[in-house]
Amino acid sequence: MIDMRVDICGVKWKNPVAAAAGTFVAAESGKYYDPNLPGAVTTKGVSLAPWPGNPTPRVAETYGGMLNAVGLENPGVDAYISGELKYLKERGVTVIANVAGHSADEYCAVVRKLSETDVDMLELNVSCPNVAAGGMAFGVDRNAVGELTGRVRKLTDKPVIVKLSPNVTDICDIAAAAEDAGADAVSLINTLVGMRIDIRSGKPVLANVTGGLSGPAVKPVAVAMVYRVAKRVRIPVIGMGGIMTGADAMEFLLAGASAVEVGTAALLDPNALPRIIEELDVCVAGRSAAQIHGSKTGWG
Amino acid sequence: MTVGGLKENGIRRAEIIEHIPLASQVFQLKLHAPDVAAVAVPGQFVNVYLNDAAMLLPRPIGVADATDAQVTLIYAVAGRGTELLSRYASGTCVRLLGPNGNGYNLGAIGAHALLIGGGLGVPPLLFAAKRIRERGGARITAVLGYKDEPYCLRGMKLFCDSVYGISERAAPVSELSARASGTEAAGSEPKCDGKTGNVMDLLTSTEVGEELDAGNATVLSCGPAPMLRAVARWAQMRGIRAQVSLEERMGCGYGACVCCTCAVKPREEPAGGREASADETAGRTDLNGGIGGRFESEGERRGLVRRKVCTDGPVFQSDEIVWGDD
Repeated sequence: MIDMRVDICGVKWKNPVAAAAGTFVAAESGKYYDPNLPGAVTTKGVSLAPWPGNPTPRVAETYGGMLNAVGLENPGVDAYISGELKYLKERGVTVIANVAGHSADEYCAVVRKLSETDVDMLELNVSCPNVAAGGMAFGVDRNAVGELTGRVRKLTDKPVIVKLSPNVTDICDIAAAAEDAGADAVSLINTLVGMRIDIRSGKPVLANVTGGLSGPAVKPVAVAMVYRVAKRVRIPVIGMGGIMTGADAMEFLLAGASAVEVGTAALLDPNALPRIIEELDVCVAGRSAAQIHGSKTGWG
Repeated sequence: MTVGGLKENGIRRAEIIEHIPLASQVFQLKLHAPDVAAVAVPGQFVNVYLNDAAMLLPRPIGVADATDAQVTLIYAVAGRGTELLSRYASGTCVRLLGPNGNGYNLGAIGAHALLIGGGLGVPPLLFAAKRIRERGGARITAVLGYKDEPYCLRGMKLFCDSVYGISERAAPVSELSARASGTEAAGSEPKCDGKTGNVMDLLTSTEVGEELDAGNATVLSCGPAPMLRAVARWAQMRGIRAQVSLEERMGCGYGACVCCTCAVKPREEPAGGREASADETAGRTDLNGGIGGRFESEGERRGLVRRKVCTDGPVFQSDEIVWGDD
């Protein structure tokens, strides 16, 4: 095993692979692998009050991917702090808390509470396509992203990652707005808005009508966006979108990502993260840091 | 645990031993899966992954039998994925994860086990019937409903004291009902009664009513949601405990994606109750905490307590569930 340690905004990860939000649950994922194995784990989006999520069905299969419209069902930040977060920190896991809200005030209230905990990093979810207010409504507006990031920046010393939506005209503008407002890193991409219709019933498959598309089908879109954003901003870029193998993760690093998050692959195989870390180990063997982070050394 | 913290309970490969049609669009799949067969209990399911990179999600299928290193699954073709699965021949390997979820609590069954199944809810009850028979001590009545052709009736007759079947259309009900007692059950031919209808028609019939030992009965049920709701109501009116196995569209099938949750009633806190430890609460989608543990209204409170069908279920006590039109 070669040394794959990375420093993301001052937080040491033992390797550049993290679990993505909404695909890791300590009590369940931990049955399959040690949560200390990934560089970090991002916990499911957490809001101030408990959210019940969307009606079911919340999931549908697509060619090489899946749609989900869970709608950020979560027990609220207080239950999160005394449950999931406590459990993971007692085991020494590097934890990124994914933060959700219906309004800027709600995001800020969650950040305030999390700032008083030993959580390692915060990821502002301004990109969930499955909630009526908040989420992507912020992430598609560069002013809203800038204002929210700026407010959060003043509230906390924790590193702040802004998770970006691909459902925008130019993701680079949004990334730059986050950087200018003080974000320590950006992560991308959240899911692409998608929809399936059951031709027998003539109705949408998802109760929420639309959902977020993820999985290997979105990977080329994600790699291109990571490549463009990494050229635009100076802060670290955390890449994600359809990573199924170590070679996929390597593509993101070559596109300019400092680290990656793995989501859908873990839903399809509970042991995907340990496998991808092992495979990435083989991919990076013999390469220098400059060779690994290709776009930083300049293509195109 | 192996080196590196990878646990040895993930996806494994399983060879198809036998794959036969049971009825129109309904198939029985026997897999060589010793690890799964050794531990599976009735009511649990396995994730079956297709050998196709375009169809990534697992198909969760209830266990219909587990014996001698073999796991039997019975499923219907419901879309492209199960259609592809139905074409896999013996000798093909598929990937499996499981067994998943919590099965029926057979230890809670009294003197009379009443198995109520609808369609693809029947196969898991076949496994339950077998295990209840092996445990002994309970009379077993099966009440089974089908849309068209019946399946699993022969197996049910092996393990149950009485088997009642009914179909909504196509197959004449005269072919379905097999009523016998004791050892005669195994060999007896189905008895004609010439009706069509659904499970609730059978359940409220005079014959089933005469057999029912309400004071000592436990219902185990599996089938479509409207049927389960009706069964739950029927059982509640008679003061009978019912364990129901819910069906919901799943993503991962192991509790990570939170796609398959259902609303449940909040549990009453025991007087002087202790606080759950972080180990117990970590990762649970119990939304009962709230801010300061209180909600504005009972409706809000009920809507906010959710459980995952895949890992907290699929079997629940029927009185835990907040049914659609409650």
